[in-house]
Amino acid sequence: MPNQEYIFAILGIATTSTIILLSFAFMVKTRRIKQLNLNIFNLRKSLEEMDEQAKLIVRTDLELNKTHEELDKRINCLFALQRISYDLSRTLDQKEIFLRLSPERVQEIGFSKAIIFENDAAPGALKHQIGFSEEELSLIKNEFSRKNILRIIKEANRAVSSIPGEGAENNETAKTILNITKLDSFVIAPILKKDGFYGLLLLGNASRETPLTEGDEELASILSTQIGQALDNAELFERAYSQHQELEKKVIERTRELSDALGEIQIINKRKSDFVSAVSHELRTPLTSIKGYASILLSEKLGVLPAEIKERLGKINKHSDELTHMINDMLDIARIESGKFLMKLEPLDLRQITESVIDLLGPQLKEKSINIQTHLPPELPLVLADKIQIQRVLINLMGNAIKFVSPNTGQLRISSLESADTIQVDISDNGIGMSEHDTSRIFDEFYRVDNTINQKVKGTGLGLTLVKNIILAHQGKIWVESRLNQGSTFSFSLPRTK
Amino acid sequence: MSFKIAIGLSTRKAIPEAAQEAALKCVSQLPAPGDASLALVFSTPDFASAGLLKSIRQALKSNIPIIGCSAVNLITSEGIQKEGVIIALLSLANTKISCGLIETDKNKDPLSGAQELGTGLASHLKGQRRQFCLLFNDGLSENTSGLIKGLQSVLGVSFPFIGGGSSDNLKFRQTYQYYDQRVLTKGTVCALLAGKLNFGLGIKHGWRPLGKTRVISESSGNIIKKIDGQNACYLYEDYFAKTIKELKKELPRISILYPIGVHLKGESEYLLRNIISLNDDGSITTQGDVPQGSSIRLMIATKESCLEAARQAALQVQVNLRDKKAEFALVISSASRAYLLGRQAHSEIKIIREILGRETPLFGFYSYGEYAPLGSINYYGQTYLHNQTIAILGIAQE
Repeated sequence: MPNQEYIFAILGIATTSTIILLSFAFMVKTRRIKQLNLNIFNLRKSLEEMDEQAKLIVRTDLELNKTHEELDKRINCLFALQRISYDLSRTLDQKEIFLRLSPERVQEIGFSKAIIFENDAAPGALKHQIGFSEEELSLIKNEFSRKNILRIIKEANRAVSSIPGEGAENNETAKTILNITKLDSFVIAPILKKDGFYGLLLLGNASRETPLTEGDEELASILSTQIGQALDNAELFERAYSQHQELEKKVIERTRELSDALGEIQIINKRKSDFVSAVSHELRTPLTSIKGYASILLSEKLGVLPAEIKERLGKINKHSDELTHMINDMLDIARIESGKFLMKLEPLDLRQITESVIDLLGPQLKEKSINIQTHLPPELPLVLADKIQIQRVLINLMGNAIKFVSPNTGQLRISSLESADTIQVDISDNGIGMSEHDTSRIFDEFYRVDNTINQKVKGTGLGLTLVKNIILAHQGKIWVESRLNQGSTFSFSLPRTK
Repeated sequence: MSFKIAIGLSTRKAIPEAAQEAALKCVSQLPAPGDASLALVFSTPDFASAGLLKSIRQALKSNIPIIGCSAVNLITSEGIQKEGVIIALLSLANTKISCGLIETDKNKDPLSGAQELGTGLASHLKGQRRQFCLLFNDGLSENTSGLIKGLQSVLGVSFPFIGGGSSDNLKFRQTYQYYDQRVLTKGTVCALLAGKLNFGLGIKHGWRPLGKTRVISESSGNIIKKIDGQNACYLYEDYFAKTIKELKKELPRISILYPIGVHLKGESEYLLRNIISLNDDGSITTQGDVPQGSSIRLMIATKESCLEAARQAALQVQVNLRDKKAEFALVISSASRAYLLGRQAHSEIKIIREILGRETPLFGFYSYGEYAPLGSINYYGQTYLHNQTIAILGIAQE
């Protein structure tokens, strides 16, 4: 049975080789499976790692988004705050300041409710509110005053909010306020004015959707500072305004008092003038008789008089003349002052009048050998005045000058000055002049300068008063410049013809 | 010209005056205001009142259907309006319109309510070629899937819906829907358009997946119970290293910035699901349905990716209009986008205008949830509820 053996041998070899081959293949497969398993393990590991990275990314992204959100909110708030500041800065009315904090604006800075309390004696003087009902408000008012919230805020001197922070005391206050206001979150900032604590600003939200951040405390502080400043400004303005009003009232009062006094003075002055003119008239009649009788006696028609009597009579006559003159002047002054004096205004050539007066005074000038110079231009514009009165003025002023200059060395200078509306005439002399005291009173009634010439020459002390009244009645001005022993310059101005 | 549109905005504070101003602006722009066939009205929540709609009706002086809703912000060609009312008056010569509403989601199975509405809408337009359906509902509603399913069961699974959930001022308390002179709070309002119409849709969000893929191991409707065998909430606890309590505090922010993305085969973008609440039993409630077995990822976006998405959506509109110029565009953008973009929110509108053309008027609103069909073949153009998404409807002349 060799064949059979062969077959067995072949079969054995084949089986063995198959087994060898199979086990080889199995070994290769196992290694591949192991490799694959390793690969899968690695892949899964990287996937897990990537997922871990994804978690990191998501967490970072969330934080980033929150920051961004907060930033966006801040930017919007700042814009809104800027608008509120602008609104606040544009009002100086206290009530209006609070109204400017409108629901829309408060919404823009991220709040739905607001309250402003003033630190008043009354329990929580409410100045402004947004978003609360009447009942809620009365409860808040009472509870705030009962729990001394205003005092707590005043003492804290900074923003207090519902953000949980360090310090149990603060958290306790926040809890109390949340309970009273029924808000979900709030921030309270003290409103400070220049003179100290004014009250509080409360901003809050009733719903959870807008959580508070630290930025809100700053925001509320900025806003409350703005309100404080606006209130200060309004107060300042109010004060300035009322002071101004007060001042204006005083000015009106004083003006009225002055015009009343002036009216009284005018009445008194008129009475005086009336009295003077009445008395003068009464005086003039007997005086005329006295002078008449004296003249008759002096004419010696009633018989020759002894020299002594004649001399006395001459004195009576002379004094009567002086008295008449004086009475006439007083009458004129009184008439002008009382407005009874009717002037005949006409265009006048001052140069012509001055020359006629110089002619009139020629004998006196010659007597004292006075050198007189006139510097009035021929084209001097005309003035609107009463001819006779202006002549009187010139006679008076030039007469005075002649009186007070020394004989032979005396000088008189008449000049003019034109302005748009007036003509000014200056009459200067190199006479004895007068002191400052005298110049200030020279135009007063019955005032006479006490000097050697006046002691010798009699005068009424009414001449310059009359002159002054005449010039004033023409809407003109008159004044004097003089120094003792250095001559005088009398100046007057009259309106030009139009 | 087969259609015309006029848009009027008013930012007046008093409701009747605002309504009148916006309506009269519209009327003055149309050569024949009497031919208008539909008025769309969007307003910020403060304006939501029967008085608003009554004043609009009076100023329009016609009985055309009015539909619309409240919104946190309005979209106009000029940018974002934080307060006011906007009206669009559509004059569509070759188009028939049928409007309908569901008053409330109470007392009624949402599916059957929607079927009833769909049947009603279709019955008025028999024998006409249905084009698309405008849909506005309460953005706080959790029953959107039933609503969509019910409408689709009547109008067709692939029938396009476009619209959004009405929004309030980010308080998530109450939103309003407008139908003729009525203001609803938990309702749905629709306008079905049929006839000849050249329209194009664009839809994108710009959120990108992050981290491992996970699988929904247990869910029912819009409640996700387990993810990868663990409590659904654990996904967020793990990623953010925060407890549920801490997460709840930051929920609006986390929900807006990091929604759940459901992977859709063939779609370039994930379908996003906003979290409405993290529940004590460890489950997550979302605004739309998340089917069991779905692959999901945590999603993240940047301002840039968000703005790029708006650009892509506008480009999609152009492609879908076969390069005809859009005569106007309805823009429904998620309130989440406005939140993420913050101060840059207006850039989104600017980008759309750059693509569609500066003379193309835009109008729309910021929504809680957007309705638009998915594009890829796998989904047969089926409409879904989206979150964080921008949906653009462009209409061109034929």
